[in-house]
Amino acid sequence: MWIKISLVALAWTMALVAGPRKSEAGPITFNSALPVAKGEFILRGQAVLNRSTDDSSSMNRDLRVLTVPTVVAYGATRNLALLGIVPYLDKTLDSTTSSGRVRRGDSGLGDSSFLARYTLLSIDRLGDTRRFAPFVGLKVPTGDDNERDNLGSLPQPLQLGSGSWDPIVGTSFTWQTFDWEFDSAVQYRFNTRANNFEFGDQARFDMSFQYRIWPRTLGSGVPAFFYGVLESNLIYAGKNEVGGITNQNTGGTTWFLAPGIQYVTRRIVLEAIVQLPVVQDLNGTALENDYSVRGGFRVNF
Amino acid sequence: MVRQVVFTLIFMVTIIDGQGLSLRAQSATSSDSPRQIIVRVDGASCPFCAFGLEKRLRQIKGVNDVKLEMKEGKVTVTIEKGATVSEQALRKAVDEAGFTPREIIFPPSG
Repeated sequence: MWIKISLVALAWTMALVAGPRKSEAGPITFNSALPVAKGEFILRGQAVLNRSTDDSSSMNRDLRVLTVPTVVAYGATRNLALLGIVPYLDKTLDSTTSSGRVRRGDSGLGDSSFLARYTLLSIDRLGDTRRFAPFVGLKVPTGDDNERDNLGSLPQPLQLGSGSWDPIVGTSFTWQTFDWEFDSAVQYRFNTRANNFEFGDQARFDMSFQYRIWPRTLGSGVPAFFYGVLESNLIYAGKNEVGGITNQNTGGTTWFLAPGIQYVTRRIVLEAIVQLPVVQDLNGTALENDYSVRGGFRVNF
Repeated sequence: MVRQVVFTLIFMVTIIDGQGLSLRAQSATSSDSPRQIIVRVDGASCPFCAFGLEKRLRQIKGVNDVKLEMKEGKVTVTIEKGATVSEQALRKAVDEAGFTPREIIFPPSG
């Protein structure tokens, strides 16, 4: 049982870290408030690898989760952007049991999310824009949530979907200049019950600073940029409930620092970042995250 | 598997960006006796965001080419010979791209 408990806490943390993000240029690991032009589409793809091997128990667990989210953003109006996010997941857990080394896992479509973001405030100057944009959304259960293998039903964290419909609210702020960009966002997800299981609610506070490292002097036209990126992700997860009973060994707080790099042109963005856990204050016996590596692209259509 | 995903992404990006360059080149060479309008725009401060601005302006009927000088916040809109583009259409396009239109300078008539 305790392995399931640990997995729940870990997988929830991973879902928060690896969750699909929005599509404008800006931060790599969370939402910005930058515009999507009316009637235009942006496609974003990422590959996110989470690894967790720091297991103090005799089970010597090794958990790998590859997430490949595809995001489409559409500018419905000047201020309203609509986003659809569909992830492909590949989860693998190796652990030592009484019958030897065992591998469990699954791969396929995960739960999708749909978001609507509205720009409430924008202040534009030459080479300077500041934007404030709240958003609401819903995570829908498009991933399988009742998968089995030859050992029986997979633990909830190894399932591709939660089975639940979970509302999302948040807000983002962006201050962008020619030389640098600062972004900040807060988000809260109200997780609901499914399959007699309810993940704890989750909250996150993110910040990102991007600094143009090339070209040093801004040239004519619309030059391509290289940004150096440093991001911070403070993530809190509440305790889960199984059969209506709170599980004291789940949830907790994790703080990641993430250095990265971005190459930005008018049509594409290429980006890569490594999220390193600085603080992991998890409840009970949870398997802690080692790192998360993320690479991806964005395309304007 | 990770390697396959990365290669696929790089391949897609290369193709898509190459198509964009090709389309821009065709657009730029089809101009004949160009007349140019200068549109001052605030808020366009990164290359990726600027694309939506250029595209919205290019969709205006009669517009032949659009060039943004990001550092100056200046868009040069080249219009087809004999075509008419209104100030209202230009302001609307900039606004719908998510930016703020400022001064618009039309070429002397005649």
